[in-house]
Amino acid sequence: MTPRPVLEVSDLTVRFRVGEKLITVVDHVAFELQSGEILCLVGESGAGKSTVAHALMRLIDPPGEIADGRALFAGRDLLALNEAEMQAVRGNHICMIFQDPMATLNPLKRIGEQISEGLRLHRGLSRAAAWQGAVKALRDVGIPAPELRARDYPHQLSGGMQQRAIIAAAVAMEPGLIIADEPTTALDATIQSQVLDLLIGLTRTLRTAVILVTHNMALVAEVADTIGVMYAGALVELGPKAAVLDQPRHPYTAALIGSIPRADEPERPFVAIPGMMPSVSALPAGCLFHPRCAQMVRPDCLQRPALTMVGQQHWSACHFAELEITR
Amino acid sequence: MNITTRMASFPERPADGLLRSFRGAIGAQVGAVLVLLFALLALFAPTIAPQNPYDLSQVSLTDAFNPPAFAGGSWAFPLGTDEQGRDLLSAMLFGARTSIFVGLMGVLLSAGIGTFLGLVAGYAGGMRDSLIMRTADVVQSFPSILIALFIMYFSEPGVANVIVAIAAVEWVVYARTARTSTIAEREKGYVEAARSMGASTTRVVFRHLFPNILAPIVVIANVRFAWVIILEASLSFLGAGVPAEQPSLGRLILNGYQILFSGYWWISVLPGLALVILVLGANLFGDWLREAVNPRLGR
Repeated sequence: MTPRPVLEVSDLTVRFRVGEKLITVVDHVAFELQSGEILCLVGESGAGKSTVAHALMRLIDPPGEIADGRALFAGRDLLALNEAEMQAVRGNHICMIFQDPMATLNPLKRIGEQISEGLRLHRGLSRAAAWQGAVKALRDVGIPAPELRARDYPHQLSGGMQQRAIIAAAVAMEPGLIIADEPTTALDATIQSQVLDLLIGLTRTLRTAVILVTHNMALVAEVADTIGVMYAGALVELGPKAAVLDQPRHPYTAALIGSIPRADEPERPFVAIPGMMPSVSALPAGCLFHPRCAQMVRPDCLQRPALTMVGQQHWSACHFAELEITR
Repeated sequence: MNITTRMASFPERPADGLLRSFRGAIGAQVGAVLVLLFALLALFAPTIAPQNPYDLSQVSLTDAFNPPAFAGGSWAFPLGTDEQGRDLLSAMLFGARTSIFVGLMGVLLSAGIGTFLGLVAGYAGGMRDSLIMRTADVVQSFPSILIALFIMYFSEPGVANVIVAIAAVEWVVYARTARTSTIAEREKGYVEAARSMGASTTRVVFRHLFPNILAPIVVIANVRFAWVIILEASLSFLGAGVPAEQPSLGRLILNGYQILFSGYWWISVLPGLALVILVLGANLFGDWLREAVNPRLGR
């Protein structure tokens, strides 16, 4: 019997109103997350990964709306909380880290103030105590001379330092869940892994659950416990890292893995997936992936496949997930 | 600038660049000196004025129509006297005091109201945006002096009412700018980040967003200061401004206006000249500031 998950998402559906039409950008996404577990949401741009992250934070603005679903966090449905209750959760029990640290930090506030804000809002600390907390948080993420850096403005720090400071702000709250939306994409390649190692190291220590949104498969292979593959707004495969990477049960996942060049198999050709991911405003009938599927397309593919269990904690939304996938 | 000084000051704060630009801008320096001079004279008017021109026990009708010292009058009244025997220099010092006070308060009140409404319109959007901005359109479709006159017609003449009448017209300028900046800033990462930290909408708008739209508002406030002084002077000249007991420069011009062509030119012309210099100074400084902080002008 596994312990009760930190987060249980079911039927999460997000729609955007465009003119008269309602467009579904996230379609009945469901997953669970245990404490300390790292879930990587992967997929192409526009697959709905970021929208899932924002929906869980309830940061979907009109014309978008969360049309359906439940997201039980510590026994409470995040999607049913009112705005005031949600404000008490945001930045307190669930923290979010965004892609571009320079844009995320307020250019007119000192780093220390920005880290203090959560402590003051949610822990009721005084200005001085929160500042001490901010300095400690900066020290914990390995920033040298944290007393001085706390007094700096964002533009005085490098991108890597900025993102460390943002991680410091999130970790200082000791949240149950951190949602990181492409946290290293905007950084130099040389410091991406440092920043990622820091984030993963701290969350492992604190047993914080993490949802990591990314399209970087190398990063996924490195840090994920669980992988969720999204395609055109739907979760098409979900499972433990080893199972998903070694025995993908959805042709899209297989194709995604096949399209990555690998240093350890220089002879293996890497294959681009033909065609493009359909726009969420013009989805194909039936299986969303069938127009691009490298497998033999069968009549069943004109029916939308449900996410079905194909192994230990392993689900796939393919009618033929039981068959061997030809690469 | 050579490379060492650039390295030494790195990273440069916006204020550093502004200061450097100010050192090279003679017009702005002249403007700043003029405004400062007027501000000091106005501030210390009760101490430096030879007489209190509105204390009737100090004013004697026998002193009426003294010309300025440079035009053949006595040094007892350096800038002459008006038709009631008031020392014109004293009247002008007190007049500048009222003009600058109304100018400052008018700018502060209209900037406060306008910025608030612009933030609300820009951040909330929808109905509130439409309501605020359509009201602004209506206000702006009338000449401002007409609206201010209309308000003064229905209220007692008084300094506070003049300030309110000015704000009723002037808020539009700030509201438009604040709304435009808010719409641009609203999409920035730090706004979403503040929300993701659990900040309430009020906190996001006033603690996080507001400081980031302040720069253009400050610039406009500087530019509009001169315009507000003119607007007040116009109202007072039309007799719908400040009361006779607390005259501004505009009101002083009105006092001498009827007898302008009877040879007593200084009663109107000298306060008018003071007004011109004050407004010129404010404009010189304001125009420099507007260009100095405009990134499109490549500074």
